[in-house]
Amino acid sequence: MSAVVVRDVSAAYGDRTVLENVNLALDSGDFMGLIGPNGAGKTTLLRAVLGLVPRTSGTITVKGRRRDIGYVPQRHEFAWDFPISVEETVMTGRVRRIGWLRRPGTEDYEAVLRALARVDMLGFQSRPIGQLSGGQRQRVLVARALVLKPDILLLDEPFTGLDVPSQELLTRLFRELAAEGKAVMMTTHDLIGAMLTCTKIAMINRTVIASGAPDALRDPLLWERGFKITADSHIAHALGLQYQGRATSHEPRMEVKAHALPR
Amino acid sequence: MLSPAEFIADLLNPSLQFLPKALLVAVVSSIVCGIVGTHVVLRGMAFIGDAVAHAVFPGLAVAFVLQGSLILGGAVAGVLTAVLVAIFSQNRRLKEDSVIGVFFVGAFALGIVIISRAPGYAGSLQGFMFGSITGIPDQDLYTVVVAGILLLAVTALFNKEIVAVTLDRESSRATGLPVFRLDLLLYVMVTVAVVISVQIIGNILVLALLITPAATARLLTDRLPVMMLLGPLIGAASAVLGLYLSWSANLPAGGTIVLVATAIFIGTWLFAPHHGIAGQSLRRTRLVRQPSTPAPQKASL
Repeated sequence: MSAVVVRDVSAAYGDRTVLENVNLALDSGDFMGLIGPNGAGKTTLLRAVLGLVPRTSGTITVKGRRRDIGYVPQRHEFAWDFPISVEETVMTGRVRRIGWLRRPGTEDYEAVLRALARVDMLGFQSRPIGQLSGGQRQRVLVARALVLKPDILLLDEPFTGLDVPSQELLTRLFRELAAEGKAVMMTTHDLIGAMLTCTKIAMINRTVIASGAPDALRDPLLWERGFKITADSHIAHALGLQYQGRATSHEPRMEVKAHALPR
Repeated sequence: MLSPAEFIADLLNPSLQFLPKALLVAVVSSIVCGIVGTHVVLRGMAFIGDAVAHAVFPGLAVAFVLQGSLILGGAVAGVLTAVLVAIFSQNRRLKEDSVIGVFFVGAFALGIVIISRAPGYAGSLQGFMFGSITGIPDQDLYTVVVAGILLLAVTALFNKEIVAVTLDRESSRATGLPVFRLDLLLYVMVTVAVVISVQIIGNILVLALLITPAATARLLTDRLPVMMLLGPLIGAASAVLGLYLSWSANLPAGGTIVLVATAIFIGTWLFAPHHGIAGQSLRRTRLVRQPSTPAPQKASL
């Protein structure tokens, strides 16, 4: 069942077109990796789904209400120097649900605890957010998005700058959420990780270059179009791209090593 | 130099009626500014506070020339400028601080031109710039107290929404919070806080009441409710102590109050229990002095 359907969407900042005729469907149960080079429009696409970017054409339909989408922005969008605890931060995800002129109730505090449990941050409730590590911060932002029990979860580069244990914990969580029937979409620059862990991949550069299950995206031409990845790149090898009936050969990889090492 | 007891006697002296009035206005202003200032400091909008402080000036000038209410005139001018800034900032090509720079200096210049038309130009200008503890009319007293209570109520009612927007505008917008209107609300709150303080502290110095106590409180705590309690407390203490010093040593009230607040800030910066510079270097020497102690982490493992 489709959770988000993007049809012929174009969007621009001023005169600069960022998205052009984008077509994409995110289904419940998907864990989709949205990949593309810098400036490809990944963040803009997420913001368009959230209704934060004016579209110049096309339609976006969302299952349920837009405001109930869980959104995790890039980590630097958040004011980490604010004097506030982990629990209070996660509670800000419910501000709209709690409503004007009202205070959080028992139900709200329970929801916060459940969300913190899902990201393995129980016991940190009263910790000031300024004292958290990068991985803990990311988990708090995910908890804040989960505190409304969203059917759709959008994440903007959740893994950028994270260590391996934090990446693994969050990857496991996103896969679990998808298995529970949520629709999860994240932008990422970790192409190899996305190909290994996501159930679907959407490759974009202003428009959708390819989308589908990772196994359907082994055509080297796509990666050359999207990322200028050529046969002699170590990434081509790690992605398992199939160059004319053979997997990436051994020799070109050695060449790359020689190029890459002196840097 | 007067003793505190003599100061209290002067406060109760019927022929010095302006003095308790000045004290009341100074205390209410500093409490309100301390609380609103918490949001100003945390959102990094000190420059906006400065802008609003200058922007109320043409309103004060018009009210002065027309013999109207200074508070009303200042509020209208400040809100008008704040709305203009908010609207012009929607243009992505200009950063907000540039738009603020354009409008607040423009407004200030307008105020100077207007007040130059009034008789007794130099004297009244000095009063506006640096504040004055005499000549606060009784009806302004009520206005200040009522406006102060209203402002505190509004802060309490919309605190969680304002905090959510300060933490993360994008996500707040995504969950459907009216971010633009909440910004406007905060600007208006800053304007009202400035306007009720401006008569006694002065147009130039009022920024200190907004920023300094809240910034001092931030040095002392990592919790917002504590900060919102400490900010006004520090502000009120500065107002009382500053007015006492100014009265007993014949110094300008606004300047003395601000200097007291500044001294408290610097003292806190040096000696705050956790974040103070002195405390940090003390802890460092203690660590150096005990090199033979086994590392506690290892012991607990």
